[in-house]
Amino acid sequence: MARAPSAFVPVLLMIGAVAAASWLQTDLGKSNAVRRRNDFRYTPDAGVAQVMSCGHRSTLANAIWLRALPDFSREFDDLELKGRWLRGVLDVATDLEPTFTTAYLYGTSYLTILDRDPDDAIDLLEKGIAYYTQIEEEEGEPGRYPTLTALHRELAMAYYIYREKDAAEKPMTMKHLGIVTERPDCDMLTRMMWSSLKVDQGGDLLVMSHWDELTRHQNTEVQRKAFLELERVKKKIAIRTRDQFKEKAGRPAASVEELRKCGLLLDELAEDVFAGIDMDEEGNLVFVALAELEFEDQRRAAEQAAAIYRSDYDEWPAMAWMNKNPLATPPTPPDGMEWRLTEDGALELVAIP
Amino acid sequence: MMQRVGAVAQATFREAVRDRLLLLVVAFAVGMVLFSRVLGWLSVEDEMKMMQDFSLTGISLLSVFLAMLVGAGALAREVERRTVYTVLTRTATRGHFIVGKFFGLVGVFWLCLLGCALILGVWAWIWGGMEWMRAVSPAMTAAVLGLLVESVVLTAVALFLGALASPAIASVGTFVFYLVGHGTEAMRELTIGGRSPEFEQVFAVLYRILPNLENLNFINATTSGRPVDWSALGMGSVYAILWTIAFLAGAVVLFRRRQF
Repeated sequence: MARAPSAFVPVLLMIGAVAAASWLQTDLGKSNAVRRRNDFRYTPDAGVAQVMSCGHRSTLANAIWLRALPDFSREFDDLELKGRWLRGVLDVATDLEPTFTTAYLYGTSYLTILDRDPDDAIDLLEKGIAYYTQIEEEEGEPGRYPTLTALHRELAMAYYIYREKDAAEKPMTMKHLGIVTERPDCDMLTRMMWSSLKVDQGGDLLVMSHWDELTRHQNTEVQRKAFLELERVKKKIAIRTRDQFKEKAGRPAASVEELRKCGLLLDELAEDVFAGIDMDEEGNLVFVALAELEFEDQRRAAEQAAAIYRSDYDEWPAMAWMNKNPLATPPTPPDGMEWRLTEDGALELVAIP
Repeated sequence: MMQRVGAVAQATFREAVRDRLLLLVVAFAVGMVLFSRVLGWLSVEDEMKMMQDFSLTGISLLSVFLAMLVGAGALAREVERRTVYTVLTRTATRGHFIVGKFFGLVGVFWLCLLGCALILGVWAWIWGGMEWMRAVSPAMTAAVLGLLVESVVLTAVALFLGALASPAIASVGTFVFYLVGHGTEAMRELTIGGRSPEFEQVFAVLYRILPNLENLNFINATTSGRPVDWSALGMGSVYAILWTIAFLAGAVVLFRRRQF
């Protein structure tokens, strides 16, 4: 009987071939990376993608997004190709899944900051806003979707940063900021920005009412912030009124009473604005109520910073550390007093020995 | 009659559960569910969204693969092995046989789908926590229920095609049915206001008569945050049952006329 041929040579050949291929892969991998930098990127038509997804629109949107994600920061030799590809991806991903929040927000950041194309960013955001506004109206639950708040905020910022020079577009910032402030999940920073810009436009009464209403909010932290912001708004209005008075009268106001009655503000507004404001001997406005609230706010911020330090290091920070750290610095103590951190993390004023 | 159908269903169930092909397909789906977490890590944000979407797509593919690979060949295997004669020589009719097969296959497919859904639930709880689970569980439940009902239709289609043609053709046909069923809604949107009003009219008719599996598709709604439209799921289920009855009736008619 003939012996079966030895398997030694085929096995050796197999191992050798695999080893050689593996050795070649290192250099091939490098050339692949170079080629892929400018590989043709095909973005399917949104309608076709809907059909091809076979009902799995969200998954296909995710797959396209994951495929494109590294390309946002990758260098392309052909920048036009990169722009077309990524715009196509944003278009298709948000068509397949109109609730794809990350695509809207991340895409907006790319289009504005990296690609300097606020027009496309604005179009993208308006697309998302249109969809979410429609579904909120259909469901009859305004304020339900935090994404809609975020989109309005982003759109306001896009107009503010890139379109403020265009007089026709200027109101768009305030329009979208105004929408955000009316939504229940509006954050403090956005409220403050809206408030400041609105006062610049002369919307004093509206802004004062806005903060006044929040001083009665059920959340005490929101109440506290609202009181503080209300005083800041009063300060801004008071300074503006002082400057307008000086320009009109040709001299600075002699007293707070004169500013109150000068007619540059509505009577009831003037009463509210100048309550808690004094004037010193040199004619400078002294914002007594604001100073008290800011003192308290800074003290609380310093206590919070100390609490964070304690949770990280298991001990309370020294006052020297707190005074050097801008986020933890307590307010300037009155003369003859200094701050001391108690064992339960509260800051208290003690007389300097 | 119920006893005969039940006996066939039980036998089908026991046989299908031991099928290695079924285990392979389930392993694929479980792998996709577990791997979806890796895809979540690749994303900038929306980790749980990626996980959810890819996992539910994996479970949906499990449903169609089970119908294609196990369901489409179920009748042919019985004929090939001559075991069908054993059943039909008793008092069970061909109709009882088909219906029993259907229930047996649906039973085993539901077991697989629910098993995968449970794994997804545990996996999502591990990575998303209880709060996330509470937020998405109504939508996930609706999506899984939709997939379960869809598997009923697909099983009926697979049996119908299996009675009509060879297992390979039945398998491909089941997959095409799945594609068409999920594509009609998107095709309708594409044709409305398109360049060809004639095609729009033709498709409007086709849209009414082609089975539409999108009525049961709640996967895309799981990450939108929108409330679940349970009445739509209910109506979609009724619609699916009507198509199931149609295909099963067709399968019975075809099987009665088959010579073997």
